[in-house]
This record gives sequence, structure tokens and C-alpha cells, in this order.
Amino acid sequence: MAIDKGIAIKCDDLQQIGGIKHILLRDWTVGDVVSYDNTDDHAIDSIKDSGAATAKWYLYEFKSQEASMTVNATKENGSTAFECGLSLTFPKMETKKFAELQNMLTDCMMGIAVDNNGTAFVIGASEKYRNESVASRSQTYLNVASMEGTTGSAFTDDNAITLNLMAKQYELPREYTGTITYYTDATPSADYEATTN
Amino acid sequence: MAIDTGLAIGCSDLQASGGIQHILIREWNSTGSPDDIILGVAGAHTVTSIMDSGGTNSTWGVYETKIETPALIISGTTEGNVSTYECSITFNLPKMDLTKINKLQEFTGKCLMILAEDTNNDWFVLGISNTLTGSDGNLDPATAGDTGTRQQTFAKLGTIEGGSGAAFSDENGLTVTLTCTQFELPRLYVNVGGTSTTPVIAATGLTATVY
Repeated sequence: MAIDKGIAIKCDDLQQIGGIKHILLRDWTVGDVVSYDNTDDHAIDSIKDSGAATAKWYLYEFKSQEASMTVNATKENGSTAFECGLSLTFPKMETKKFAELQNMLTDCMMGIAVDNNGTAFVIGASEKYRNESVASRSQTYLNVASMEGTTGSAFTDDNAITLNLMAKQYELPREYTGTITYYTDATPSADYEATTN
Repeated sequence: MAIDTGLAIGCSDLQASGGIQHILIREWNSTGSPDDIILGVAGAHTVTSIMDSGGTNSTWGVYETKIETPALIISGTTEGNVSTYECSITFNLPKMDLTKINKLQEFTGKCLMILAEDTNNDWFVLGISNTLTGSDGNLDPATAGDTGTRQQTFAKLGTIEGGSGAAFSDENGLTVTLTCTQFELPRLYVNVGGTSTTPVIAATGLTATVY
């Protein structure tokens, strides 16, 4: 691919806001269909599960201003690897949160991180070096890298656990340009679900 | 929102008086179910209705104070293109006693919303906002058009200072400060809609009903 365009910086680019506002996670499942958009974009325009018009995701709330996505690329010979991290902090350690965290220990996941400017990034689903026949066997998935939890010691200390997820990809994270529908059950959501299509 | 009109300063603005005359305080979701809070249309910067899970009205505590001590303070700073508003309401309760201490003790660990009426009859809302409210992001409404139920921009107890004093002429009392970090200026409570036949805020004794 040749360099064929430059990049413009506009006023609203300079007015960007830091941080993540929504984090969605789901397991890779046999039959998942991910549609990559390379037409002048580096995007994914659709993620659906087997036979469905949508894919189901789960929304993980976190302490405000304590979630971030990081991208670190290193090039060695002709190969560039991107370590894409997602870090989020859950205040107040307790059994319900631990149960959900325990569930993801050995899972191969994909994640969507929506930043505070409204841009959704997908990590753990990428086109380069994907499995050509069965998408769910791609090895560039998102998985648990580490967790750090503490009760604190002083009364004023934080009681929280921080989850760090990591996907080693061979391309930059793609923007999700499809539709994300949050909270299908509302009042309030029992499962904190969302869907993409 | 585009900047397309300016603002005027009228005679009544210049004749405005200072201070807060009424303070109402309530705990978020105090009925155990999601509150039903409706915001004004985009650009209005109002809260038009605050209702509990019953969907008709909400019950608030009326906190009387020593006159001319309550103040609403807004301190906004912009850093990295985000404006953060540290909002607080401070008031003095004269004469420490068991009743007051018990009521203040109730604030500990609670997520609060506050209505403060200034002496020009504007009701300011603290602890209910619609900008960067947390990872719930107002996605989980009790009803359509409602705000979320797990906002992280609630008001909470900041400080309590005071004491008995030492000299006979010293003050005996407590100064309470409730704070809230928001990412937008406080909204005004302006009730609109189908409740025109009922009072918007009706106070009886130490309890108020807000529609």
C-alpha cells in the first residue's frame, strides 16, 4: 500500500477528550463473522455471531476516568507487532465482580472500547494473520494479561481491582463503524448487554 | 451546539441578591429502584423532572440552616480540553445537638442529589448531570428520555467543621460542605409538562415533594 494521502488536523481533533467511556467484551465463538473494511478506512463494519443478525456483548462498567486503551508497536525485521492493552478499574472488590473476572481467565475475547469522543475501537479482532477458514481460531484475540487488586490499608485508601487485558495484533486496532445497541433489557439491565450488527 | 446568540444583562440581573434560601437533599435511588429523572432538551441545560421509581414525584429532606450562611460555589477549570466543575454547597447549623448530628451522620457514604434555591428563586441542581457521568453513560434509563441510574457525578459529603467554641460568646455549631465533581455547569430545575396543576416543589415541614 502506497502513501497516497496526508492527514488533516481540525479544531475538533484538538478539542479531544481523554479516557474511555464504555467497554464491551465478548468471547470469540465458532461461526462469528467479522467484516473488515479496508476501503480507505481501517475499520470493522460488522460483527455478528453464528447465524444471527447481531452479536451479543457485555458491558463492563468501571470507575470513571480509570480506564484506558494503549497501543504499543514494535518493528523487528519486516514484522510489526502491536500490543493493544485495555485497562479498567472496578471499585470495591466483591464476589460478583470476582465471579465475572474469574470467568474470563482462559477465554479468547474481543473487545470494543468507546473513547470519550465517541470513537469505538475493536481490539482482539484483526485481519492480519487471522485464521482464514474459521475466524474464531484467530490467534490475535484479547485475553487477560494481569490483575491488581488491593483493599488498601487506611480507611481512605481505594478498595479496587484493576483488570489489564492485552491483544497482540499485527495491525493497528480498527474503528468499529457498525451499530452498537446498548442495554436491550433496561430498567436497569440485568446482564449489561449490548449488541453489534 | 453552535454559538449563534449572545446574552443580555438586564436591570433585574444587576439587582440580584446573594445567598441560598432553601436546601433540599435526597439520596439517589433511595426507594431502592431506579430514579426517573428527565432532563431538558439539548441546549436548555435544565432538569425538568425528578421522580422516584413510582414515576410521579420524589421525596426530599428540607434542611434548614442559619440565615445568610448557605452558599453555592462553582469552581471550573479546563485541562486537556475537559472542563471540570467542582461544585459545593456549604451551610451552617447553629447549636450542635443530637438531632442535627444524627441527620448529618446519615450523609456518610451516600450518593446524593441537591436542590438549592437562591434568593432570586432559581433552583440549582447538584449531583445530576449529563456529561461524562461515568461508564454507565446514561445508557440504562428507567424510562425513555431518562438519565442513567449509576451516575458517578453524584454529590457527597465533603467536610463538616465546627465545635462548641471556647468563650461564652463563641459560636456553637457545625458548617457542612457537600461537594460534587461534574463535567458541566449545574443545571437549573425547571419543571415543565403535565404537572402544571400541582406545585413543582411542595414542602411540608421537613419534607418536600418534587415533581
